[in-house]
Amino acid sequence: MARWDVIVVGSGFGAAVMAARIGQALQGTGKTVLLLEKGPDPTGALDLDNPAGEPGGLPLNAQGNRFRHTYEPGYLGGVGELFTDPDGAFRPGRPSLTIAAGRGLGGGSNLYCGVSLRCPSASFDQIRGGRRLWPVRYTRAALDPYYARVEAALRVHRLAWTDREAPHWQLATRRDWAFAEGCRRIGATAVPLKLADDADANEGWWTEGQRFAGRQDLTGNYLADAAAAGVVLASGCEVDAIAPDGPDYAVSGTDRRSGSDVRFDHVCRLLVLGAGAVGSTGLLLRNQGAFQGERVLDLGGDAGDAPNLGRHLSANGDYGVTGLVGEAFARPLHGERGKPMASFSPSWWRDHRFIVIAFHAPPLFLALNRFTTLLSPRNPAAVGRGSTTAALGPDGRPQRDWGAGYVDTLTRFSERVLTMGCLALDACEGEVSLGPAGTVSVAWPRTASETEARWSEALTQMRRIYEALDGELLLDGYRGEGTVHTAHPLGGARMAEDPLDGVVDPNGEAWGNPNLFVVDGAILPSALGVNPSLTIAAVAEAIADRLVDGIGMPSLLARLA
Amino acid sequence: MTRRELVRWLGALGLAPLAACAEDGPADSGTPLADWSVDVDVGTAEATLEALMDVLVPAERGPDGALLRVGAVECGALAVMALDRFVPLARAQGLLPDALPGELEEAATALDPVLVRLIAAELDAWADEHVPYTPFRDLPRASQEEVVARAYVDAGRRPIVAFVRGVCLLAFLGAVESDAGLVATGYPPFESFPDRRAVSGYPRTVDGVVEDYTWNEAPAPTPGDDLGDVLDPSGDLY
Repeated sequence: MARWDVIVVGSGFGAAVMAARIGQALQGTGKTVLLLEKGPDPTGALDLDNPAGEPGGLPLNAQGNRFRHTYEPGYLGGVGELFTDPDGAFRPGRPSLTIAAGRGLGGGSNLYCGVSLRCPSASFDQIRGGRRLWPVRYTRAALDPYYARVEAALRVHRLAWTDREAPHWQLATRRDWAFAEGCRRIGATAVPLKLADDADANEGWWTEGQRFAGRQDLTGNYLADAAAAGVVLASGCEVDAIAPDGPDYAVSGTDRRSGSDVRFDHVCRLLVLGAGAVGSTGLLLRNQGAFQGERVLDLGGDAGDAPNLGRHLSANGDYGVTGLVGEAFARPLHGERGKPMASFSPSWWRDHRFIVIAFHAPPLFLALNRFTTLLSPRNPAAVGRGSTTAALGPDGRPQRDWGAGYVDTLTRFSERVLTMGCLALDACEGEVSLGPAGTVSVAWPRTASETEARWSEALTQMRRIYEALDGELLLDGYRGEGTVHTAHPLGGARMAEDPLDGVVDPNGEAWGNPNLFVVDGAILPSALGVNPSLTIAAVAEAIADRLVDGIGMPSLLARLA
Repeated sequence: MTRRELVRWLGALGLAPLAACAEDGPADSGTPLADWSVDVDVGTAEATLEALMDVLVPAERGPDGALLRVGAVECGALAVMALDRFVPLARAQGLLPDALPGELEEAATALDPVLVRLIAAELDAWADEHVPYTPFRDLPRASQEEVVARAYVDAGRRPIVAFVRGVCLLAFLGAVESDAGLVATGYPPFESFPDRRAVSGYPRTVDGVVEDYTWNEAPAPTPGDDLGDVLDPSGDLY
């Protein structure tokens, strides 16, 4: 059994920040920090022959940019995972919720599109049941200094429409211009996004396995800082068991680095879980039985019959749709080119609390998610839960999603496809649970009326945008399949001022379990309405500051004495 | 690998109908696969599977047989189906659940030829119902399509064609073995497929003309839509 002072589980936006800040605070003290990540280390996929990215040894494209597009299983297959429920609530055999999560060193940053918006004040100020969902210390103003720190680390900048305002590589794409024109025609406005990239070569393909120097994943900043400070980064090590061990924590799992499964057993004084909303919550659920008596993990469930662990999971109001634009906009669209997300419309935030983002969905993504809908010139049945996304032919039977006709459709419509989605304040209707075999499952048992109203309004507006561009909305996974799709899961082990209302306190420390921290999307108590990576990192920065300096709690060094 | 393991893995892959087929063998379900064979040799089985792949995502050929547009077969669908690469890719794309037994990837090499032969044998059985004593690969194209169409509405057969469809789309649009499917779909060819260098969108020159991903033009303002109280100067929502 190896002894460490601090163990961090996970390597995403919460874990990487904590590892860097704790590592830096302990540098030169003789204290040891270990980071355990279950997925692979994808950094070498930038270029297998030249992982450091040195000029000269790296294949360059015609523009002199370092770039590699790869579907090699060791890369793409290793850095993403899906969570779902096998028996959906709305339709037998259809999941009610699917969550795409990052995996591998860098966590969610391996899959994200770099969108880095600060969370609006209204999201922090949400009231439910007469109480503010967020602890009082969390406001936009209070987090602004931490946002600024993360933005500097991730080289966040705002894109522009023209190169009179920004360097050419920072411009929004043709796709965004078409989206903006659609917004304008219905009385709304699209503006350029803030993005975490640096000299991005704009190859597009971010969502299809691309690795290049521009995209700011965490391996080049926070995790590099952690390693420089002496933190040991161990990818391929999956933690499956945690338990209190007197003042320490026992951490066990499987090390797959050698190609075969080797069990490991560690012990540490301070344990930080940062495996993401589903990962951390699942780990706590799986080991709930090891926390008994005064150290029970969920007082709400134990004493108040109002469990918090595994509950209040938000999809961040994600609702994506796909459609076509008219022929006149086909050439300008060029959906595959440029940054996958580069503009959004905030015009509905004031009245409805959602934003709309246009993005590039790669053709494979669409084909595997029932692209068959696009066979129909008009498919009114695509809206309204219980309808089908399968386009109907003249005989009223579903059209084929295979064969020559289908391939013709793929080739004919490729330039006209535009995908967009809303991010909204939902009511945290999701749940995380353990299946019979101990596998983590997620579900969306019902949709609250307030969420339904926001999604309905967003759907109406997105359809209007397509129609304003002489096209139509065709693919709607939620209305068609009854499935909520999200890449932004939040909650499951939320923080709260009162131990009956949450799993961790406002510092991220588990109620009743000193030195057990959860610092990732799992502790965020509500939807944000914007992409959450920046906020998760900013919250982690705030928690790390208080921990290191001992503000309102014992300091890091005092805990490890 | 034993028959028992095979059945478990096929079930995990969502190919329960094939698992049932595999169970129709000798009584000892622990029989090593090496001692047990499906009555189709691998080469013939691969030809049968490619016939199915060409029905699902077909190539287009001219009257003289010249290839006008590639299909899944030309994009290396059979190679993509090799399970040690298909499983992680399909999992990342949501085609397979994440909860597959971990050993599957280790055993994939052994499972590959068995899976191909099982699917081929199943296809021939379906074809036999359509035209007796005629293997699937020898059926006329219209009959092959009819066999597939029937399979799609048969709950017991649909998972098998759905599985192969996933393989085909991964090959056709995923640029795993070739970028030809993406090119056929309207995407620019890779600069170098062996090096996995796709095309940059940053100002590039095609035939002497700059082809850019940007519009480099601000959209016209929207009258009456004042974002002053919504968006701060740095581009964040207040």
